[in-house]
Amino acid sequence: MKRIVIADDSGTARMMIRRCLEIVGFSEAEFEEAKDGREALALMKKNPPDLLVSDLNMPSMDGETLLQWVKASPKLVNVPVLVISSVTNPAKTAELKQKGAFAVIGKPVNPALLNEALAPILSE
Amino acid sequence: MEELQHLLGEKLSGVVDETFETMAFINTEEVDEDQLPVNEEQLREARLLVTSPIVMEIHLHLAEELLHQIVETMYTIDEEDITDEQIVDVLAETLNTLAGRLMTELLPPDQAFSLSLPEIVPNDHTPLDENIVFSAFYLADDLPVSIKISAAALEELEGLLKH
Repeated sequence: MKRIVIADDSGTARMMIRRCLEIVGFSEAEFEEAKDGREALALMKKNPPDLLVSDLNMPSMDGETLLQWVKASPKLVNVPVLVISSVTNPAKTAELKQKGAFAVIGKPVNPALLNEALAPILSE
Repeated sequence: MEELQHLLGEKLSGVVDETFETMAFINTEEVDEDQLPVNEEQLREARLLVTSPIVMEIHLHLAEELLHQIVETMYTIDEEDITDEQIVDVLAETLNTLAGRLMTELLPPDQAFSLSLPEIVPNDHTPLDENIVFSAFYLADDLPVSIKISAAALEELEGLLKH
């Protein structure tokens, strides 16, 4: 069973992302939710997930800082990070991928966007 | 300035339609302000700052009844189970999504931008009318939606636009 951590300060966004993930093939996955980067990091340090889905704009620790922590941690470096944020454009996407993001999607999220972004993981 | 207003209106309409359709399966229609069935007491407001490359504030007003409909649809719950926490979270997330999509549409692909976290405006606040540089009004399921942009100098945006 895949384990997925979703980090977003909005409960609505976390719920939407989870439903879209279930639709594209993660209906059997175990989901854990975090309201910011610190919470997400604490969840992942206990048990590295198969996928981290993270927003960028979050209080306490933002998504970009979380991405940098994950990619600097020997325990978490191999966790694929999917960024879903309203603050995305080609320039930001390139910057986040250079920092180690697996894929970047703009909000509002929908199953088709997720399916395309996660195709390599879904085919494993 | 007139061209900028036209472009903002055009881009915003597309963004509003896409956001409401994707989040809650609701279609929107742009209308004149006097076509809105406005009752100020039944509107909820959120605001958010664009902090770079220019500074401006985006205000979103949604009818309380519309927010209830969206929460019911998104969370698949009954009216009596809706909480105020869900109402304000949906309002904030809708504004966050709208603002990001609008800036993505307006700015060139190589221009990064930053947004603050959305903030819910208390019902008893004093409206900030003097700096409103753009307003647009919509009906979503016959219920009012309005978006207002305040800025000290919107002219700065003209120099950054991709069109």
